[in-house]
Amino acid sequence: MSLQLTTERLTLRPPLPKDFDDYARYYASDRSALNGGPLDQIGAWQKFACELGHWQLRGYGLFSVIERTSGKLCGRVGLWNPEGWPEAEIGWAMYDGFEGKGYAYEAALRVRGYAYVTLGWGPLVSVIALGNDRSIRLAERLGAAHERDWEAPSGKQALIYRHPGKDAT
Amino acid sequence: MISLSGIPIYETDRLKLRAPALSDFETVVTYFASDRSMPVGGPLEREKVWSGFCYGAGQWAMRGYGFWYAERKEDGALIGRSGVYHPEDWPEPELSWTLFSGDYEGKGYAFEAAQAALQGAKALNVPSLISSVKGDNPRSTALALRLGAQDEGDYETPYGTMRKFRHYGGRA
Repeated sequence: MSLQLTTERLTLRPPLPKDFDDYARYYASDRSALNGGPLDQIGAWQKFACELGHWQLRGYGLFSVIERTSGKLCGRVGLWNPEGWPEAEIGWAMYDGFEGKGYAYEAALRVRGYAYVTLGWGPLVSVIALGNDRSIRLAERLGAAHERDWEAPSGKQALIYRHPGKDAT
Repeated sequence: MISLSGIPIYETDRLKLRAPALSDFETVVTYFASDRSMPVGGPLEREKVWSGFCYGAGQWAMRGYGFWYAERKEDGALIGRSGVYHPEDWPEPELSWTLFSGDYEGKGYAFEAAQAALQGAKALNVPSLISSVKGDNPRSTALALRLGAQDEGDYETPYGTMRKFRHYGGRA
């Protein structure tokens, strides 16, 4: 898989096994609480393998986001559609030290463009855990608006935000 | 890193062993909805089955080995899967086999698939290989022995006590 997207400051590519350590560090911290964490090493390994498998099976997934100047992994942004999800969503999670720089916004904008232009998809949603105010602000900055509330198969409460479509972006 | 398109395909007399595909998912869901899945942690609802199915595809990328899905050559029916399961909390690579429906039992399919998967594991340089059988499961025990594995007795796994059968490797 040689797919790669670039922005001014970031490179986005499908995850590789070597990305696991940063992933596990994120899931070991409370920062992951609104994205299915925290998880121990075993749980993180399982979930990471699942994310790689999602790419393999669906042909799209969450990209590893890399800061171009440093080469460091700064998070995951991409298209996520597990069984039981309302539809494919655009999701994001930034690692410690890489927030507040506008990276998630920059990456999400690029992924959305990729979905609309290259994949030909219609207006995307973002599924945001209830109480994740930071994500809500990012969704709103991206022009998305609250569409409805939703209960995940796990029983967790979430909000569905609808992004503007291709023509509006 | 092995992607699904890079997974070697094996053919036996009656079966074709190939990479998992999204189109296999509903068959796996049906299997995990039935009590037949109890020896492997079932029954499970479809969201949980998805996580496991995705994990299985991703394990190929992480480890370089995983499950082959077995099609019957005669009619293309997806009869089961066999291959190497090796999550982070499992002591060694595990050769496992599953038939998705009782209709496929008693025909030697599990042996045929597992034998091919065992050869496939060796070809992929999987360093050692065991099969763990839980409780009183004479069918699986017989199959492990028929594959030539050595009985190493009971041992503790993250899922309780199981009997370990060693196919190759792993001894000091």
